[in-house]
Amino acid sequence: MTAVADRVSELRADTSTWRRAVSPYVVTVLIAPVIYGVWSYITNSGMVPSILLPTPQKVFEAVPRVVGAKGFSDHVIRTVSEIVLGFGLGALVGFGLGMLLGSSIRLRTAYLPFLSALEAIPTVILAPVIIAWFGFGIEGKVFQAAIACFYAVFITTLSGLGLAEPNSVQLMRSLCASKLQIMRMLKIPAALPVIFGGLQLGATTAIIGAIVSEFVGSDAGLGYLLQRYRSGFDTPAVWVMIGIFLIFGLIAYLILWFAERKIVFWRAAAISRPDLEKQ
Amino acid sequence: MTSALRVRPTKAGVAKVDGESSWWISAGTIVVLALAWELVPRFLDDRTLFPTLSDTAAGLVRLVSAGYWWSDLTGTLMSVVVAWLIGCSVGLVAGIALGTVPFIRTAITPYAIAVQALPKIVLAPLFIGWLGFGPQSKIAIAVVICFFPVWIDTMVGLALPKPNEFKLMQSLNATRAQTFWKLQLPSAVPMIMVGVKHAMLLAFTGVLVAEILSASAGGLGTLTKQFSSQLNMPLTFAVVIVVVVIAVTLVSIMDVIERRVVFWSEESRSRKS
Repeated sequence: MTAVADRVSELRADTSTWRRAVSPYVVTVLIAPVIYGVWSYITNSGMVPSILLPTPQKVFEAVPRVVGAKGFSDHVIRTVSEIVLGFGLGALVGFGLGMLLGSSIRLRTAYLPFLSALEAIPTVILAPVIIAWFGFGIEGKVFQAAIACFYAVFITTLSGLGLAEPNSVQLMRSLCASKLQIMRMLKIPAALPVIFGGLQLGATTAIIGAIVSEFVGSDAGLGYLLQRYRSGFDTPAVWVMIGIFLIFGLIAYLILWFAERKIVFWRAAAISRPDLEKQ
Repeated sequence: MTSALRVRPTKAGVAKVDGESSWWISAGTIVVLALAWELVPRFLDDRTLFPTLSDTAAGLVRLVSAGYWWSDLTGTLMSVVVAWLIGCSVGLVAGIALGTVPFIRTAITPYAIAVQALPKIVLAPLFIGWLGFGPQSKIAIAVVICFFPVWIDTMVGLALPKPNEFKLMQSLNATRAQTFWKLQLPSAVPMIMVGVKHAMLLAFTGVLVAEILSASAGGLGTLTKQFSSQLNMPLTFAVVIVVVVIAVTLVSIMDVIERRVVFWSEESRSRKS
């Protein structure tokens, strides 16, 4: 028994020195060529049909063709404005309603039963309805993106406003602070980190809303372009489009991450990823 | 992971307050909304696009009494449940495989962020092109969409115990398996349950999108698409209402399961923060 335990601790000591010597990010960098190799192997050997996943060479060859196509920048601008406008609208309404309900206990108690219903609704089911209402233009996509991201911002604002320390609220009260001052100086700063979590979630859902709406019916935009390439069985071009959407998602993520670090600067340390946190 | 994944919309801030009677606000809101829904469309030029409440109710009765939609309903529900089960299993296994070793977790974090950043719904047209209009493509899309939160929440949850708690396990000569079963998994379960619940909603979304996009597949999404392209708005709204009712039911069931499984979670959450 003790021999086993000794062996275990020995092994543990071994691995920990090994782990100290090699940064995890070395492995991160090494994973990329492995993925490329597997991708290249399974596609070239015919294990995966090329209609689903073409070889990496073909996809990279398709990049200049897709990006250089006439009108590509118009499609990009169209989709970006749908996402930005929809996200802005949804986040604004979500923040406003969250503030409204967050500042009144009575309203909050009254609307509590509706909140979980709001959470559950899959907004994509409205996509055909929105197409019927707004047509193939940009308005419907903005609306779809807005309702897709509204809930995340709303619920995080609402629950964030309850996060302020009760003692701090009492201190503010004893210093004769008005309700507005308590809100501005204490409750909103306490809620901001949580609200940013909601904004990040909302950015993802807004992008999904805009794309789904473009898939269902549109006359321009990257989702429309992807559908067109797919119906032409141009799978390498479809994968280039998927790569572009990945870049979109990463850009949205980075913008919000930087904004969070700038605006919620006092939490900058806590925002860093927990796996990197020491103690 | 990032705060977006760590901070879940909780209802911590919306705890019920005793002594404040507010039922009349809820009831009043419902009445006002119902009246607005009934009256406002009557003043619009085009009532086809905006059916009144009574039109929608009539549509709902017509839908439910018609025989043809039951296969759509069961088809959608079956796909959601199957996709959810597969997605949760895959997410759980991936989370445990990658989440128990901090080294691997740190190494793959950039890839996890990339997978999170990709709006996975863009894969839907590809899956439909590959697997056809049948239930396979719906399930495949829903699995790809819904496994992610389970994976991430499992990974983050397994890392929740504090360093001192790990040290205590070590000083008690616990094996890696014992640390996993007695420390990491119990503290991860509340988080995993959140992911599992989220996955249910995402699986539903994925199935609906697939159904809307492949209009010949059958299912509630296909029904909505067909009715709305016929501009038969009362029936379209009826299907939307059915979808909302199903979604709310599914989430309520998940809430009950969550409370049963992680009855200690409120306490553990307050301890963590």
